Amino acid sequence: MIQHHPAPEILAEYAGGALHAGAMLVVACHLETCAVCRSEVSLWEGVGGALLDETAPEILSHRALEAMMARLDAAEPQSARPSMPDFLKDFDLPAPLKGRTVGRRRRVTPNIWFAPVDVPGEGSVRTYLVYAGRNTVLAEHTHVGREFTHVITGAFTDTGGRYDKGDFACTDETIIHTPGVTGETGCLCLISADAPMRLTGLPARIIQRLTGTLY
Amino acid sequence: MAVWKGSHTVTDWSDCIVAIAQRRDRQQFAALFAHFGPRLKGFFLRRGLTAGTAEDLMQEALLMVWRKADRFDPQRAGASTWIFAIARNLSIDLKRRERDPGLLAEFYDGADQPTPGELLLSAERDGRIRAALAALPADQAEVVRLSFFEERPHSQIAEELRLPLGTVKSRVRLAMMRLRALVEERQ
Repeated sequence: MIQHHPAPEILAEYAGGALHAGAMLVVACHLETCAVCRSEVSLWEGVGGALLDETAPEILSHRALEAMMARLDAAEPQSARPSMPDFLKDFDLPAPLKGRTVGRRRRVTPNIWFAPVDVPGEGSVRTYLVYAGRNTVLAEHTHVGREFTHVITGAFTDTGGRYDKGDFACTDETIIHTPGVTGETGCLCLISADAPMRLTGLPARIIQRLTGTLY
Repeated sequence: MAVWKGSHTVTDWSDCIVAIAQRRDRQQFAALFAHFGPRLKGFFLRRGLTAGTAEDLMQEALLMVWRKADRFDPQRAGASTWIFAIARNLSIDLKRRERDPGLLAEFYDGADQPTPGELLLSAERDGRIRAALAALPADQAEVVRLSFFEERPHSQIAEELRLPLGTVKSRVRLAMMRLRALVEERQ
Protein backbone atom coordinates (compact mmCIF):
# COMPACT_ATOMS: atom_id res chain seq x y z
CA MET A 1 0.00 0.00 0.00
CA ILE A 2 1.51 3.29 -1.07
CA GLN A 3 1.66 5.81 1.76
CA HIS A 4 3.80 8.59 0.34
CA HIS A 5 2.84 10.43 -2.84
CA PRO A 6 4.22 13.41 -4.76
CA ALA A 7 2.62 16.70 -3.65
CA PRO A 8 -0.17 17.95 -5.95
CA GLU A 9 2.13 20.73 -7.19
CA ILE A 10 4.71 18.14 -8.29
CA LEU A 11 2.07 16.21 -10.22
CA ALA A 12 0.99 19.42 -11.96
CA GLU A 13 4.62 20.18 -12.81
CA TYR A 14 4.98 16.66 -14.19
CA ALA A 15 1.85 16.96 -16.31
CA GLY A 16 2.96 20.33 -17.66
CA GLY A 17 6.51 19.16 -18.35
CA ALA A 18 8.07 21.62 -15.91
CA LEU A 19 10.34 19.14 -14.14
CA HIS A 20 13.81 18.24 -15.36
CA ALA A 21 14.05 14.93 -17.18
CA GLY A 22 15.48 12.97 -14.24
CA ALA A 23 12.71 14.17 -11.94
CA MET A 24 10.14 13.29 -14.63
CA LEU A 25 11.57 9.76 -14.66
CA VAL A 26 11.23 9.35 -10.89
CA VAL A 27 7.63 10.58 -10.93
CA ALA A 28 6.86 8.31 -13.94
CA CYS A 29 8.06 5.31 -11.88
CA HIS A 30 5.72 6.29 -9.06
CA LEU A 31 2.82 6.68 -11.49
CA GLU A 32 3.32 3.17 -12.76
CA THR A 33 2.39 1.84 -9.33
CA CYS A 34 -0.07 4.51 -8.18
CA ALA A 35 -3.54 4.80 -9.71
CA VAL A 36 -4.45 7.74 -7.46
CA CYS A 37 -1.64 9.94 -8.77
CA ARG A 38 -2.22 8.69 -12.31
CA SER A 39 -5.74 9.95 -12.12
CA GLU A 40 -4.53 13.35 -10.89
CA VAL A 41 -1.99 13.56 -13.73
CA SER A 42 -4.61 12.63 -16.30
CA LEU A 43 -6.79 15.44 -14.95
CA TRP A 44 -3.95 17.87 -15.58
CA GLU A 45 -3.24 16.44 -19.00
CA GLY A 46 -6.93 16.92 -19.76
CA VAL A 47 -6.55 20.56 -18.74
CA GLY A 48 -3.58 20.76 -21.13
CA GLY A 49 -5.66 19.27 -23.94
CA ALA A 50 -8.51 21.72 -23.30
CA LEU A 51 -6.08 24.66 -23.27
CA LEU A 52 -4.45 23.41 -26.48
CA ASP A 53 -7.86 23.46 -28.16
CA GLU A 54 -8.42 27.01 -26.94
CA THR A 55 -5.01 28.28 -28.04
CA ALA A 56 -5.24 30.94 -30.72
CA PRO A 57 -4.08 29.35 -34.00
CA GLU A 58 -0.82 30.74 -35.39
CA ILE A 59 -0.21 31.16 -39.08
CA LEU A 60 2.06 28.43 -40.43
CA SER A 61 4.83 28.99 -42.91
CA HIS A 62 4.17 28.76 -46.63
CA ARG A 63 3.75 25.16 -47.81
CA ALA A 64 3.83 23.78 -44.26
CA LEU A 65 1.25 21.14 -45.12
CA GLU A 66 3.23 19.89 -48.15
CA ALA A 67 6.38 19.73 -46.04
CA MET A 68 4.50 17.75 -43.43
CA MET A 69 2.93 15.29 -45.87
CA ALA A 70 6.31 14.70 -47.50
CA ARG A 71 7.68 13.42 -44.20
CA LEU A 72 5.03 10.79 -43.58
CA ASP A 73 6.68 8.05 -45.59
CA ALA A 74 10.15 8.47 -44.18
CA ALA A 75 11.37 5.43 -42.31
CA GLU A 76 10.91 5.67 -38.61
CA PRO A 77 14.22 5.77 -36.77
CA GLN A 78 14.62 2.70 -34.63
CA SER A 79 16.12 3.17 -31.26
CA ALA A 80 17.29 -0.04 -29.66
CA ARG A 81 16.42 -0.43 -26.03
CA PRO A 82 19.57 -0.59 -23.99
CA SER A 83 20.00 -3.82 -22.11
CA MET A 84 20.15 -3.66 -18.35
CA PRO A 85 23.42 -4.52 -16.66
CA ASP A 86 23.66 -7.90 -14.92
CA PHE A 87 23.66 -6.49 -11.43
CA LEU A 88 20.06 -5.38 -11.97
CA LYS A 89 18.72 -8.63 -13.37
CA ASP A 90 17.29 -9.85 -10.07
CA PHE A 91 15.26 -6.69 -9.50
CA ASP A 92 11.75 -6.03 -10.68
CA LEU A 93 12.46 -2.70 -12.37
CA PRO A 94 9.83 -0.06 -13.17
CA ALA A 95 8.95 0.08 -16.87
CA PRO A 96 9.93 3.74 -17.36
CA LEU A 97 13.46 2.87 -16.23
CA LYS A 98 13.82 0.06 -18.76
CA GLY A 99 14.47 2.39 -21.68
CA ARG A 100 17.42 4.01 -19.94
CA THR A 101 21.09 3.26 -19.95
CA VAL A 102 22.41 2.43 -16.52
CA GLY A 103 26.10 2.97 -15.98
CA ARG A 104 28.74 1.07 -14.08
CA ARG A 105 28.04 0.19 -10.50
CA ARG A 106 30.22 1.78 -7.87
CA ARG A 107 30.35 -0.07 -4.64
CA VAL A 108 31.07 2.33 -1.84
CA THR A 109 30.97 -0.25 0.93
CA PRO A 110 30.34 -4.00 0.66
CA ASN A 111 26.72 -3.13 1.37
CA ILE A 112 26.07 0.00 -0.63
CA TRP A 113 26.37 0.82 -4.31
CA PHE A 114 25.41 3.58 -6.69
CA ALA A 115 24.84 3.37 -10.45
CA PRO A 116 24.23 6.44 -12.64
CA VAL A 117 21.14 6.50 -14.86
CA ASP A 118 21.76 8.18 -18.18
CA VAL A 119 19.40 11.08 -18.66
CA PRO A 120 20.41 12.87 -21.86
CA GLY A 121 21.04 16.55 -21.43
CA GLU A 122 22.08 16.41 -17.82
CA GLY A 123 25.68 17.47 -17.67
CA SER A 124 26.56 15.71 -14.46
CA VAL A 125 25.30 12.74 -12.61
CA ARG A 126 22.22 13.63 -10.69
CA THR A 127 19.97 10.69 -11.46
CA TYR A 128 21.09 7.37 -10.10
CA LEU A 129 20.13 4.09 -8.51
CA VAL A 130 21.26 3.48 -5.00
CA TYR A 131 21.19 0.14 -3.26
CA ALA A 132 21.78 -0.29 0.43
CA GLY A 133 21.80 -3.64 2.18
CA ARG A 134 20.04 -4.51 5.41
CA ASN A 135 20.83 -2.39 8.43
CA THR A 136 22.67 0.34 6.61
CA VAL A 137 22.20 4.03 7.13
CA LEU A 138 23.38 7.13 5.29
CA ALA A 139 25.11 9.64 7.51
CA GLU A 140 23.42 12.94 8.19
CA HIS A 141 23.27 15.06 5.07
CA THR A 142 21.20 17.63 3.27
CA HIS A 143 20.50 18.62 -0.34
CA VAL A 144 20.80 21.55 -2.64
CA GLY A 145 17.41 22.04 -4.26
CA ARG A 146 14.89 19.22 -4.40
CA GLU A 147 15.63 15.54 -4.50
CA PHE A 148 13.03 12.96 -5.56
CA THR A 149 13.20 9.30 -4.54
CA HIS A 150 11.18 6.30 -5.72
CA VAL A 151 11.45 3.05 -3.76
CA ILE A 152 11.89 0.18 -6.22
CA THR A 153 12.26 -2.54 -3.63
CA GLY A 154 12.70 -2.83 0.12
CA ALA A 155 12.06 -0.02 2.59
CA PHE A 156 13.81 2.80 4.37
CA THR A 157 12.90 4.99 7.31
CA ASP A 158 13.48 8.70 7.38
CA THR A 159 12.26 11.83 9.15
CA GLY A 160 9.05 11.50 7.10
CA GLY A 161 8.35 7.96 8.29
CA ARG A 162 8.69 4.60 6.61
CA TYR A 163 8.97 4.41 2.82
CA ASP A 164 8.09 1.13 1.13
CA LYS A 165 8.07 -0.14 -2.44
CA GLY A 166 6.25 2.36 -4.67
CA ASP A 167 6.52 5.25 -2.20
CA PHE A 168 7.75 8.65 -3.27
CA ALA A 169 9.93 10.95 -1.17
CA CYS A 170 10.84 14.58 -1.77
CA THR A 171 13.51 16.31 0.24
CA ASP A 172 15.08 19.74 -0.06
CA GLU A 173 17.64 21.92 1.64
CA THR A 174 15.39 22.45 4.64
CA ILE A 175 15.64 18.77 5.52
CA ILE A 176 18.66 17.29 7.24
CA HIS A 177 18.26 13.56 7.44
CA THR A 178 19.80 10.16 8.06
CA PRO A 179 17.74 7.68 6.04
CA GLY A 180 18.24 4.06 7.06
CA VAL A 181 17.23 0.76 5.54
CA THR A 182 14.56 -1.11 7.50
CA GLY A 183 13.02 -4.53 7.00
CA GLU A 184 14.42 -7.88 6.01
CA THR A 185 15.85 -7.02 2.63
CA GLY A 186 18.06 -4.40 1.09
CA CYS A 187 16.55 -1.32 -0.47
CA LEU A 188 16.90 -0.16 -4.09
CA CYS A 189 15.86 3.40 -4.91
CA LEU A 190 15.86 5.64 -7.96
CA ILE A 191 16.92 9.16 -7.05
CA SER A 192 17.08 12.39 -9.01
CA ALA A 193 18.38 15.63 -7.55
CA ASP A 194 17.97 19.20 -8.82
CA ALA A 195 21.62 19.93 -8.21
CA PRO A 196 24.39 17.90 -9.77
CA MET A 197 26.01 15.48 -7.41
CA ARG A 198 29.55 14.20 -7.43
CA LEU A 199 29.89 10.53 -6.71
CA THR A 200 33.60 10.73 -6.09
CA GLY A 201 34.40 11.33 -2.48
CA LEU A 202 30.86 10.60 -1.53
CA PRO A 203 31.50 7.31 0.28
CA ALA A 204 33.89 8.75 2.78
CA ARG A 205 31.67 11.68 3.49
CA ILE A 206 28.23 10.29 3.83
CA ILE A 207 28.19 6.56 4.04
CA GLN A 208 28.19 5.02 7.43
CA ARG A 209 27.30 1.63 8.74
CA LEU A 210 24.64 1.36 11.37
CA THR A 211 27.35 0.33 13.79
CA GLY A 212 28.78 3.79 13.47
CA THR A 213 31.87 2.70 11.62
CA LEU A 214 32.78 5.36 9.14
CA TYR A 215 33.99 4.18 5.76
CA MET B 1 -20.70 6.00 -27.47
CA ALA B 2 -21.34 8.87 -25.10
CA VAL B 3 -20.69 12.24 -26.60
CA TRP B 4 -20.36 15.29 -24.48
CA LYS B 5 -23.10 17.68 -25.43
CA GLY B 6 -22.02 20.65 -27.45
CA SER B 7 -18.52 19.46 -28.17
CA HIS B 8 -18.62 16.83 -30.85
CA THR B 9 -15.14 17.74 -31.91
CA VAL B 10 -13.83 16.01 -28.80
CA THR B 11 -14.82 12.64 -30.23
CA ASP B 12 -14.37 13.57 -33.88
CA TRP B 13 -10.64 14.08 -33.51
CA SER B 14 -10.40 10.77 -31.72
CA ASP B 15 -12.15 9.09 -34.67
CA CYS B 16 -9.73 10.86 -36.94
CA ILE B 17 -6.68 9.44 -35.13
CA VAL B 18 -8.25 5.99 -35.16
CA ALA B 19 -8.76 6.29 -38.95
CA ILE B 20 -5.10 7.28 -39.30
CA ALA B 21 -4.07 4.22 -37.30
CA GLN B 22 -6.31 1.79 -39.16
CA ARG B 23 -6.15 3.06 -42.73
CA ARG B 24 -3.11 5.33 -42.80
CA ASP B 25 -5.64 7.89 -43.95
CA ARG B 26 -3.80 10.92 -45.36
CA GLN B 27 -6.90 13.02 -45.81
CA GLN B 28 -7.80 12.60 -42.17
CA PHE B 29 -4.23 13.46 -41.26
CA ALA B 30 -4.34 16.63 -43.34
CA ALA B 31 -7.55 17.64 -41.53
CA LEU B 32 -5.90 16.96 -38.18
CA PHE B 33 -2.90 19.02 -39.29
CA ALA B 34 -5.14 21.93 -40.27
CA HIS B 35 -6.68 21.99 -36.80
CA PHE B 36 -3.77 21.13 -34.52
CA GLY B 37 -0.79 22.45 -36.51
CA PRO B 38 -1.54 26.16 -35.92
CA ARG B 39 -2.48 25.49 -32.28
CA LEU B 40 0.63 23.45 -31.58
CA LYS B 41 2.74 26.20 -33.07
CA GLY B 42 0.96 28.58 -30.68
CA PHE B 43 1.68 26.26 -27.77
CA PHE B 44 5.41 26.14 -28.52
CA LEU B 45 5.58 29.89 -29.13
CA ARG B 46 3.95 30.50 -25.77
CA ARG B 47 6.61 28.36 -24.18
CA GLY B 48 9.16 30.88 -25.37
CA LEU B 49 10.47 29.15 -28.51
CA THR B 50 11.29 30.97 -31.72
CA ALA B 51 8.88 30.74 -34.66
CA GLY B 52 11.24 28.39 -36.54
CA THR B 53 11.68 25.99 -33.63
CA ALA B 54 7.98 26.14 -32.80
CA GLU B 55 7.14 25.09 -36.34
CA ASP B 56 9.75 22.31 -36.33
CA LEU B 57 8.40 20.93 -33.08
CA MET B 58 4.83 21.19 -34.37
CA GLN B 59 5.88 18.98 -37.30
CA GLU B 60 7.68 16.57 -34.95
CA ALA B 61 4.59 16.32 -32.76
CA LEU B 62 2.27 15.60 -35.67
CA LEU B 63 4.72 13.15 -37.21
CA MET B 64 4.61 11.36 -33.88
CA VAL B 65 0.81 11.32 -34.09
CA TRP B 66 1.08 9.71 -37.55
CA ARG B 67 3.57 7.10 -36.36
CA LYS B 68 2.11 6.31 -32.97
CA ALA B 69 -1.56 6.54 -33.93
CA ASP B 70 -2.01 2.83 -33.22
CA ARG B 71 -1.05 3.47 -29.61
CA PHE B 72 -3.82 6.00 -29.18
CA ASP B 73 -6.63 4.60 -27.08
CA PRO B 74 -9.76 6.75 -27.29
CA GLN B 75 -11.02 5.16 -24.08
CA ARG B 76 -8.04 6.47 -22.16
CA ALA B 77 -7.46 9.97 -23.45
CA GLY B 78 -9.14 12.47 -25.71
CA ALA B 79 -7.33 13.47 -28.89
CA SER B 80 -6.32 16.94 -27.65
CA THR B 81 -5.11 15.50 -24.36
CA TRP B 82 -3.00 12.88 -26.11
CA ILE B 83 -1.55 15.43 -28.52
CA PHE B 84 -0.86 17.83 -25.64
CA ALA B 85 1.13 15.09 -23.88
CA ILE B 86 3.17 14.43 -27.05
CA ALA B 87 3.90 18.16 -27.47
CA ARG B 88 4.83 18.49 -23.82
CA ASN B 89 7.27 15.58 -24.10
CA LEU B 90 8.86 17.17 -27.15
CA SER B 91 9.31 20.46 -25.35
CA ILE B 92 11.10 18.63 -22.51
CA ASP B 93 13.18 16.76 -25.02
CA LEU B 94 14.26 20.00 -26.60
CA LYS B 95 15.47 21.25 -23.27
CA ARG B 96 17.53 18.13 -22.97
CA ARG B 97 20.09 18.82 -25.70
CA GLU B 98 20.69 18.48 -29.41
CA ARG B 99 18.42 15.54 -29.65
CA ASP B 100 19.01 11.90 -30.22
CA PRO B 101 16.80 11.12 -33.19
CA GLY B 102 14.02 8.82 -32.19
CA LEU B 103 14.75 9.12 -28.53
CA LEU B 104 11.71 10.25 -26.67
CA ALA B 105 11.34 10.50 -22.98
CA GLU B 106 9.84 7.26 -21.73
CA PHE B 107 6.83 8.70 -20.11
CA TYR B 108 4.28 6.57 -18.54
CA ASP B 109 1.82 5.83 -21.30
CA GLY B 110 0.01 2.67 -20.39
CA ALA B 111 -1.96 1.52 -17.43
CA ASP B 112 -2.48 -1.77 -15.71
CA GLN B 113 -5.27 -1.00 -13.29
CA PRO B 114 -7.55 1.75 -14.47
CA THR B 115 -9.13 3.76 -11.67
CA PRO B 116 -12.85 4.54 -11.79
CA GLY B 117 -11.85 7.93 -13.15
CA GLU B 118 -9.86 6.32 -15.92
CA LEU B 119 -12.78 4.12 -16.84
CA LEU B 120 -14.89 7.12 -17.62
CA LEU B 121 -15.14 7.61 -21.32
CA SER B 122 -12.41 10.02 -22.15
CA ALA B 123 -14.73 12.22 -24.19
CA GLU B 124 -16.95 12.60 -21.18
CA ARG B 125 -14.05 13.32 -18.91
CA ASP B 126 -12.60 15.90 -21.30
CA GLY B 127 -16.02 17.52 -21.44
CA ARG B 128 -16.07 17.78 -17.66
CA ILE B 129 -12.62 19.25 -17.57
CA ARG B 130 -13.62 21.87 -20.14
CA ALA B 131 -16.71 22.73 -18.13
CA ALA B 132 -14.63 22.95 -14.94
CA LEU B 133 -12.11 25.25 -16.63
CA ALA B 134 -14.91 27.46 -17.91
CA ALA B 135 -16.35 27.62 -14.39
CA LEU B 136 -13.09 28.87 -12.84
CA PRO B 137 -12.97 32.54 -11.89
CA ALA B 138 -11.13 34.43 -14.65
CA ASP B 139 -8.14 35.35 -12.46
CA GLN B 140 -7.58 31.70 -11.52
CA ALA B 141 -8.02 30.46 -15.08
CA GLU B 142 -5.40 32.96 -16.19
CA VAL B 143 -2.74 31.77 -13.72
CA VAL B 144 -3.45 28.15 -14.67
CA ARG B 145 -2.87 28.98 -18.31
CA LEU B 146 0.28 30.97 -17.62
CA SER B 147 1.89 28.62 -15.12
CA PHE B 148 0.79 25.21 -16.34
CA PHE B 149 0.31 25.61 -20.08
CA GLU B 150 2.85 28.31 -20.85
CA GLU B 151 5.21 27.14 -18.13
CA ARG B 152 6.02 30.59 -16.79
CA PRO B 153 7.71 30.81 -13.41
CA HIS B 154 5.44 32.21 -10.70
CA SER B 155 7.80 35.15 -10.22
CA GLN B 156 7.42 36.13 -13.88
CA ILE B 157 3.64 35.86 -13.70
CA ALA B 158 3.65 38.08 -10.61
CA GLU B 159 5.64 40.68 -12.50
CA GLU B 160 3.45 40.58 -15.60
CA LEU B 161 0.18 40.75 -13.72
CA ARG B 162 1.60 43.21 -11.17
CA LEU B 163 0.62 41.00 -8.29
CA PRO B 164 2.48 39.95 -5.16
CA LEU B 165 4.14 36.55 -5.58
CA GLY B 166 2.07 35.16 -2.70
CA THR B 167 -1.14 36.05 -4.54
CA VAL B 168 -0.01 34.20 -7.67
CA LYS B 169 0.90 31.12 -5.65
CA SER B 170 -2.39 31.10 -3.79
CA ARG B 171 -4.37 31.54 -7.02
CA VAL B 172 -2.59 28.56 -8.55
CA ARG B 173 -3.32 26.49 -5.45
CA LEU B 174 -6.96 27.56 -5.33
CA ALA B 175 -7.43 26.88 -9.03
CA MET B 176 -6.00 23.37 -8.66
CA MET B 177 -8.27 22.58 -5.73
CA ARG B 178 -11.28 23.95 -7.53
CA LEU B 179 -10.62 22.10 -10.76
CA ARG B 180 -10.19 18.83 -8.93
CA ALA B 181 -13.37 19.41 -6.94
CA LEU B 182 -15.37 20.41 -10.03
CA VAL B 183 -14.27 17.38 -12.04
CA GLU B 184 -14.81 14.95 -9.16
CA GLU B 185 -18.19 16.36 -8.27
CA ARG B 186 -19.39 15.68 -11.79
CA GLN B 187 -18.30 12.05 -11.76
